[in-house]
Amino acid sequence: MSFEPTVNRIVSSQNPFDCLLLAEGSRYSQVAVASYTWMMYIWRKKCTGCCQLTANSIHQCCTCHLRYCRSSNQNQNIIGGTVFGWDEVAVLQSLGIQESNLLYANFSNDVGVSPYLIIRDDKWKTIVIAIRGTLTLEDMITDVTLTPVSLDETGQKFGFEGRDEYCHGGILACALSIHDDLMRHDILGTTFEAHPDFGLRIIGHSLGGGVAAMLGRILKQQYSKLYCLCFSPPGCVFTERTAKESMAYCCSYVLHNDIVPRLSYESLVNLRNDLVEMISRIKCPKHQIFDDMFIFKRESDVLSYEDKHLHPKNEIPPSSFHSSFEQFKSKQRHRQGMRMTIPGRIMRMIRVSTKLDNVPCWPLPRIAACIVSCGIRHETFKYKMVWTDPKDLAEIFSKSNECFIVVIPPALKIMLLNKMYYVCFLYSIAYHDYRSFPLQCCTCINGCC
Amino acid sequence: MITDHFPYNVAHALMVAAESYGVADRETNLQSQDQLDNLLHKAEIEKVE
Repeated sequence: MSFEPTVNRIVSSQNPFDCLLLAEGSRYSQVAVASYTWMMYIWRKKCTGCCQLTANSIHQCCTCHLRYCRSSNQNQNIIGGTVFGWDEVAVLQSLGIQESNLLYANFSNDVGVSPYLIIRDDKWKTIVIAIRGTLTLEDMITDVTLTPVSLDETGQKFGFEGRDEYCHGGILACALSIHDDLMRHDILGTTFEAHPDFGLRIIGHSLGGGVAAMLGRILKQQYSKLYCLCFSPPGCVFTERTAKESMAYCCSYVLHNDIVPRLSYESLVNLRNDLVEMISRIKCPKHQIFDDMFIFKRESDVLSYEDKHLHPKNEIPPSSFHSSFEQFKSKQRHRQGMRMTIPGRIMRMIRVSTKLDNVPCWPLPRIAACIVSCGIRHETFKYKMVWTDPKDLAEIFSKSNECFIVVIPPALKIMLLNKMYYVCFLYSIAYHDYRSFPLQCCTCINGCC
Repeated sequence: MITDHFPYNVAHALMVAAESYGVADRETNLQSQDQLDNLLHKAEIEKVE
């Protein structure tokens, strides 16, 4: 699989549109973080977070202000969450907003049901719907429900062209459940009645980002001042036409080598093929590669690692393993999945390290470099912002200097091969294409080298 | 790779980037739908060019 990155335009400080989207992304990413509620709050304030939330709960209990002591009218705005109200307290304290600005929150979580909250940003005159990303087992099941679901029926219902277009099944279910909940409580109707000049932003991180894009597609006909900000959404949200249309109301932010915006059926199949093919390409025993991990190496040694240990792709020596894998690939070609992609315009933040260049690839200096980078993080990391084409995020396993192949040391990749093989095999089972999978390869992988 | 997905890291990167572009505390004007449409239209023209 060849991969050539496209030439992209750098985000310009002279372009008002670029600046506005960067400013909005910066401001509302904090809300996306806060939507993870008390877990993220405690993670951010490791020493005092738990004590602060407990103290707040005790204070509320003593003043009879605990959620379950309040009147039923007040309770209607907060649904689900922890008994002591840690979720809402964490949101309020993370964002530093008043309780009146948290208009609604539904912390209920299930397969196909994502927690979300609605806040009012008085400073920027915006109503923000923030959808939480993957955190629980239920969310993970929603994530892997990536069977494309037709948008035809949804499009007819909500007034957009969805014929021959598809969406990630779990994401569509979440978006519809949030839409139903919004309509049931008529939250947006009453809010915009009181604040007609306010804009609407739908934001989310990870799974929440994909749900935000889909919810935006549903609500766009109704709310013209709507814009979606998706932070690291999965790479399999919409089919290409809908993804292109979503550029009018949606922006996705991708940080450097984040793997999630690159995840799709197609990219996983390519990754599986690349990894399994590596077994055929290995020149030396695996234990030698493992031993090499503990030997001091220069950066140039690491860069030549692949050539040293793997045969070139076009010169793979014949073997029963390789021929059975080629047969498997030829049988799988007709199972090409639907091409799904990331929604909206894509603003990618490429990390430009100013102090960590040319660090020897040896465990101790690497650990030391990490400690240094944590201590002086603000000075160490700079980011180059570019508008990216979805094609640049189409592959997990590529020859790009910024992708997987360099980030994970080759030795570690080869060590991971066995485990990855079984993961890919399970993935094949999930997609019902196991019948033609070369089962004998399992023993071959363990026995070869 | 997976650390780049962590929400706090994404938010931090955006904050640093916004500061370096000098737009961290900038008031947004995307409230005006006309203005938003104009900006999108301009961006489309630039893309085509």
